[in-house]
Amino acid sequence: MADTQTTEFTLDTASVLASEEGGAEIVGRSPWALAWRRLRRNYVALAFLVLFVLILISCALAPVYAHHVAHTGPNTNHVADTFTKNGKEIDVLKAGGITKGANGETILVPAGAPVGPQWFSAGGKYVLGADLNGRDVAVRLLYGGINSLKIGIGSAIISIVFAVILALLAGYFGGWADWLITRVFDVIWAFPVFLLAIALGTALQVGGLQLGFTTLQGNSLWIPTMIIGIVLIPYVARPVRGQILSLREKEFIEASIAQGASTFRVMTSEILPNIASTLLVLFTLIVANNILFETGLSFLGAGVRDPEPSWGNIIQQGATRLATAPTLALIPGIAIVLTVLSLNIFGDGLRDALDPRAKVKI
Amino acid sequence: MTRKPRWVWLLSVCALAAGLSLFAAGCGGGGGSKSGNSSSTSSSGEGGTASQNQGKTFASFRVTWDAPDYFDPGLSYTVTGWQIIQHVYLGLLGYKETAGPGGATVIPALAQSLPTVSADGKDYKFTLRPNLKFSDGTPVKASDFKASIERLYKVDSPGVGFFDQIVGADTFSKTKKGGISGLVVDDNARTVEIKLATPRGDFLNILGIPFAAILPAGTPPSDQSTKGLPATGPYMQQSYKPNRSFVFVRNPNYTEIPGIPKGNPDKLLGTIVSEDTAALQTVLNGKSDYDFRTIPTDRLAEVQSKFKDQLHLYTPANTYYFAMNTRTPPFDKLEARQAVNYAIDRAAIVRLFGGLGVTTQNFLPPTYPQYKKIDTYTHDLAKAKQLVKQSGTAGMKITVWGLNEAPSQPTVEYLADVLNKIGWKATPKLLAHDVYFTTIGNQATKAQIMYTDWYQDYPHPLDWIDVLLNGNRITETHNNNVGNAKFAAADQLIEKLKKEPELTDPINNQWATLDHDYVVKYSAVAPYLNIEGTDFFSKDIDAGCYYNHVLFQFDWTAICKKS
Amino acid sequence: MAVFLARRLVGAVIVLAIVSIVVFVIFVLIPNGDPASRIAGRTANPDSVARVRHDFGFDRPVYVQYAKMMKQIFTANLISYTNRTNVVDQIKQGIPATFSLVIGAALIWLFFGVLVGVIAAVSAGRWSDRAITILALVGISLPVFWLGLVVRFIFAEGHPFNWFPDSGYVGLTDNPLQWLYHLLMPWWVLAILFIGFYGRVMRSNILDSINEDYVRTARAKGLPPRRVLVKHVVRNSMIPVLTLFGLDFGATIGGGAIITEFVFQLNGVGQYAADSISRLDLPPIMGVSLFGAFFIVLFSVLVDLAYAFLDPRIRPT
Repeated sequence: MADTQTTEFTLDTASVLASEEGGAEIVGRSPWALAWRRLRRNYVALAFLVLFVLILISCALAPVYAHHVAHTGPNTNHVADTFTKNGKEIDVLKAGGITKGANGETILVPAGAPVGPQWFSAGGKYVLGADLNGRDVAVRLLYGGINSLKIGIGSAIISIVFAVILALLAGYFGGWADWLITRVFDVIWAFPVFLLAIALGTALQVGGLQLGFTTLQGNSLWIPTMIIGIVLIPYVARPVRGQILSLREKEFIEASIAQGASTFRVMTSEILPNIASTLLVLFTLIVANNILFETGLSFLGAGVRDPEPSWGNIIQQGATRLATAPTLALIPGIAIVLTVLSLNIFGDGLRDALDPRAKVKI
Repeated sequence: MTRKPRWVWLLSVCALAAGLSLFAAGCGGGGGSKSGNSSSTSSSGEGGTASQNQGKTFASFRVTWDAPDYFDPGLSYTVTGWQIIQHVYLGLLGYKETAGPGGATVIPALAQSLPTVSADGKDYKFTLRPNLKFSDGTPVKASDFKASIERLYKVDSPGVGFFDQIVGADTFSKTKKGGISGLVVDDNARTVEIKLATPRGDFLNILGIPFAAILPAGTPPSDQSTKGLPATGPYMQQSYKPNRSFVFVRNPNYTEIPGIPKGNPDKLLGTIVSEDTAALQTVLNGKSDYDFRTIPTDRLAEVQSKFKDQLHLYTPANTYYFAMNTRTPPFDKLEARQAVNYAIDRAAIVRLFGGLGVTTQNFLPPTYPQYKKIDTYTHDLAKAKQLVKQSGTAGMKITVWGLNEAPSQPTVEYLADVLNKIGWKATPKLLAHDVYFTTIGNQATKAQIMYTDWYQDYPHPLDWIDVLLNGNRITETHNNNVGNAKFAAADQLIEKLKKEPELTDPINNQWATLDHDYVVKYSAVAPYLNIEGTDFFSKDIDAGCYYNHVLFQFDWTAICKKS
Repeated sequence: MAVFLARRLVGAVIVLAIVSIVVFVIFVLIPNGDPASRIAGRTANPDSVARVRHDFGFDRPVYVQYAKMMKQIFTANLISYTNRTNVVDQIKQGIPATFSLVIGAALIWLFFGVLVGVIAAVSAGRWSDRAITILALVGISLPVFWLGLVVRFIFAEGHPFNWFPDSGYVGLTDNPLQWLYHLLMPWWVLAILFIGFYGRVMRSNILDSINEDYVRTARAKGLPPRRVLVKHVVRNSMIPVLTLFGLDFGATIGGGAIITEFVFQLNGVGQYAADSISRLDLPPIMGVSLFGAFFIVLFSVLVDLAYAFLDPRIRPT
């Protein structure tokens, strides 16, 4: 860390920051406190953390306030309804249809184009416009955010928990356990993951999933959560296993074993705390990755099912109305980019802060 | 998925049961429909016939098509396939190539004339035209017909149901050996004799569809779509790459058969595009002359305002309706079913269809002479709510079944929302097209309420009410009466009307009563819309040559270019 | 070396076999519609369904059906349940589009990814580095399907800029110019994510190797900094990037380009996969899964081999 020679290639920003703190100050501080010190100075990462928290809160609290603003629920159709803007009645979906003219000719008035964003000029209604069923996009966006975040976070937890258990078993025991687990990973690795996930998602939608103790309906949010969580386990487990392998060689573990600590104890009190920072960084990045994964699945109709909103399936609907209602597909996309970007930037900053020399990659 | 297959299922010409021999040839003409079948936003293009446009040949007609199921006439069962191969593979009989209800008239194709039918309606005798040749030069023999029908059973064709009444077909379908005894052919005399076990009034109609096309006897019993088969019609298949392209060219060995013109384009160059927007673009940028797919609702306004003369609307006889399962709660209660009919706002659903539709409350399509406009159900949520309360089923959980593609998806979501508003707890369940109909047609599914539609095979009320609502035709699986409608009085009337040889005014009135009863008295179904189709052409195409056939839709052989 | 190769190949075959079994099991165990009734059609009667069930062997034991399907794949006789098209033929016809898309995109992402990474590393700590880092993160955060839609909506014909064809694929041999023209948008959409990712990997690799002994030695020898950078630092930092590239390339051919193909209607193997999955049509799903797994496994073997040649310290046994 003291190596601060100035060449024309300066070192990583974070390590520069770390070295600026000076050796004296570092003594006697816990690694977490040090990390926090470093993170505090990374304004960009903090700003995006705030952004993410804002998105999270505004989505999570949607059931509390959305109805008071928009006067409608996420799944309430307003196909033939109107709303008032500046004293004028406006159709939520454009009216039209086919009629016969005076000479028997067919007159067609194309219909169904949803109304675009009203911002706040219609008393909180249709702030971001309507979708194909006349549902309020802003409300669906918030509720869709709940679903997308639930699945992103839920599947990340599944991936991490299983990956850590498997990686601990493989990395610590080595031998046949390691062999077996890495072979299983090899197989999952060889799968075209996205293809596997959409195949599973589509197939499960028809019949649901019978687990021993419960039955998941085809439209359950657990189905995409589990699919994404499971197919991504090896992607998390591989870097974790690598780290455990290198930790095993460290003196303090050997010392602990020599003192007669049980395997379980070594794993929980020596190894786990040492991979905790890696896991935290991985978690942020995996949540980001899984939100992208989920929206992709839902876009292809293999994730969250209408009428349950998700950012992905709102875009799917919007894709059929790009010419007449472009915001329908644009806005959820921007929501995805902001959420995923904020997680990625924060995760990046977190990694620099926790361990400026780490090379965690997913 | 944005993919929107246009699978217009031509179903159940086999629907008609026994005892209708006199009806046979007349079922098309009997329609005598009041309004033309084809209408268009442009002033021209109505009521043309193939023969009127003859002789305006041009080099190649480039079309953008949807993926057909098959081009093998033994397997194809969609308009996507039939619209092309009906000009390639002829059978003993065919349909008159003309606009309007006249298109349902059966004409002799490879047969010299319409057959002689025995008095009991069980025996049909045909004679082939002399000197017929396949496109590869081999002569067409009477025994080829027998082999072609037998091949349907060998390839597990979805059309075998049409031929089950032939004597010996049943045995053959199991053993696949020894031939169908009810088909007697004589190659020298060029005669074909078909013996039916039970009379079947619509048998001539069946012999006119591509399933009954005559193929060489040696045709392998497997899908030959990509290889193409020796043709008997004015065109033959040159190439077909599934999901990509196809080429049909003139059949050099075709000698003109009266009523089946040689056609104008020398070549049909097809590009298969599986997305509406991309398909439309091929015509707009001049890479194609015709867009088979429906104009995406997103672009309809633009196309209509900029290219009005190139856009044709047509009305295939169809009805979109919600079927309610009278065997499962809550729809075993009349009030519950009525509630649905009152609750849905039909004009609203038109918006979900992009405007390409007309509201209806009738089960029969409006072009039928049996159609008497029903106007009972004015959209009334309060009344619907009260009916739900009366039925004692308020709060019940309901699964609304539908297809996971437009326009079904938004429509089903709309219906679920409406059912929630009137006191039930509804959730939509959306399935892929390929599993949907077998799922709701299976009694084990116990589907409560579902999205479904019907397109005519030929204009006759039997094709609708008998196939879809007759309580005697309910089956355990592959049930077409998805709502299990079973009302003794109505079923009796259907069976009685089935025996009527001609659609006279009094008979038509009885059909209209049935139509009314099913929708109003029993409220077994909730019809809401007749959809409108679009045909879109490049500016080089002469709209004057356009016509739309009652069964096979747009006739590409009759089209011509602007001079 | 031969032993290593043989072991990897045996492993690859086993992995492919397991992949095929898993796909088969998914579609046999999960209730998703009886293929026999699907083939028999909407109006079929129980008799004809039974006939189809027998003719297609759906009444045989599951392992017999599996064995039959495998045999059909290797003899190129496997047909779809929905339209009886030959699965192997369909995959073959999709290959030109998929390979054109992935190879083109891969070249773009490799070149620009490395370029971006080098620029960022050279200017580490400065504003340009920060800007590049943020932009790279933006690239990683873009949902491909959405980016594809937006790009199509802005730049495709019939839209504001009217620059590129809206969608579709034209064969390289049919018309090279149109081929290029049709692929430019899909290439970039697919490459953007990887450019961001590779840029970051490259940057951190360069920054790591700057402190390696051989770089210090080179610098101590008095080599000009630019030369040190190009000859030693970048070159050595490329090795892990190329490894990554091999794996990503295999994974992208093997299914990673599904969404791009779908959004741009390229009619390649990926779109065939998406279409077949939406129809729950097992034979093509089996075909594309094995196709995908084959390329993923192939490239992981190739990467291991390449590694062995490039880096003599790693001696595979």
